[in-house]
Order: sequence, then C-alpha cells, then structure tokens
Amino acid sequence: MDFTSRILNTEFLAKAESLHDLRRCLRDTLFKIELSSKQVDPLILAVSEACANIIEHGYDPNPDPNPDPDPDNTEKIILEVFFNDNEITFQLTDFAKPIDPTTVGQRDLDDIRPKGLGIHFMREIMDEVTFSSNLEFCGNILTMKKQFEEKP
Amino acid sequence: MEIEISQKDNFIIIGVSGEVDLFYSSQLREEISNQLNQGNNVAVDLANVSYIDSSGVASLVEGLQSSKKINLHFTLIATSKAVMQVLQLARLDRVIPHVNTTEELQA
Repeated sequence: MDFTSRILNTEFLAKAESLHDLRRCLRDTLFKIELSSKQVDPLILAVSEACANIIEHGYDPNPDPNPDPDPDNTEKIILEVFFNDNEITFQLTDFAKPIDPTTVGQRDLDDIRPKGLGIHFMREIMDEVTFSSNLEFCGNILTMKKQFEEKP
Repeated sequence: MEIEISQKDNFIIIGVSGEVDLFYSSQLREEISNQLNQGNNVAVDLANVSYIDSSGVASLVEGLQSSKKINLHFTLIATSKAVMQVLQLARLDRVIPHVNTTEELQA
C-alpha cells in the first residue's frame, strides 16, 4: 500500500532573491529522503524555474519598493512536496492573477532565442505538469510529478 | 554570483562563479553586452558555476546573437557539469561555441 507523506510545506516571498534559499531548502529536503544528486539536481531546476515564472509573469514585475507590511497582502508562493515510494509531487500555490492554462505553451527549440525555456525544462524533467486556478482565492496551483522507476 | 574580468590575447574573459538565476542573470547579461559594445570578443568562463537556469542561459544566447550581429566572437569556456547539463536540456550545447581551456580560444 502506497503511503504518501508531505515532506515539505514552506512559503517564501515571490521575489527573485528568494530563489537561492528556496533551492537550498528543497535540496536539503530531497537529500533527507535519500535521493541522489543525479535525481535531485533536475528536480531543483524544474521547481526553481516554476517559481521564477510565477515571480516574473504572475506578480507585478515592478513591485512597490515599500510594500504593505500586512502579511495577508504579501506576494508569496507556497511550496509543498509530497513523497511516496516511487513518486514525488511538487505543488506551488501563488496568489497572482489567474492564468489561462491553455495559453501556457513551450516553443520550438529549433527556434534559437533567449526566452521560453523555463516551461520546456519543467516538462522535460517532470513526468506531469499541471496548471490550475485556485478556486478558493485568486491565484494558481502548479503541480509537478516525477516518478521513479526504482525506489530512491 | 560573482564576476571577474580578465584578458587572454584578443578575448575579454568574463569569469563567473556561483549561481546564475533570475536574480543574478541580469548582471551577466549586462556585462556581456558591455564588453561586446566595446568591440571585444567575449569568452564566458563557467567552470565555477554551480547552478544556471533559463534566465542565465538566455543571457548566453543573447550574447551569442549580439556577437554575430557585430562580427565578434562569443565562446564559453570550461562549462561546468551543471551548466552543460542545462545547455543539453535546452539543446544549445551544439549551438553556443565552447572550448575547454583559454588556450583553445581563437578569434
């Protein structure tokens, strides 16, 4: 019987300077469940790319330098990680304007240009990438899953 | 992320260390752009880069494209394993020129 447990539940400010600490926190968590570096590195990349997309495209790219200190109005991202014997799930919840999942695409890699690689990385690394709107409050939920052929 | 500038023959070498992500990639982009705008061939040494994301890769692609427009050379040096894996994921490992050492730089 599979038993799925939540191994991480954290939130951080939706700012680019948060990404370093996020990756470090996630790396520590994934090593605790005894994933190898070969397994961990691409997962870190995919999650960090997803967060970068939320920061860049979801929230205001030019935030108020003096934001409202009320934490309810803080632009943040919630990261939860769930794990069982052969599958790991990353769920990112944001409170940005809802996106239309049908507009999230990835470009042809033969078209050499700077932008548009983040989604490609996420879909190349993960087995499943799902975008949905948060029905309880304004925002989005991104779920990414990776299955392991062998128990890590 | 830290950047260190040096010169080897007719190349300006931009030595990068640390993590190149959304927060830091604009610095790399600006340095590459500045050097190219000054008429310099540019080599980016990535041996000490422990992490790079799509924004970092984008800065390298922009550098390559800009260099071609003004007939300058743009090359990567000693891409770390972490960087090479990401370039391979983006299928850019055969698009962006790269060499293993500064001795291999040719303009």
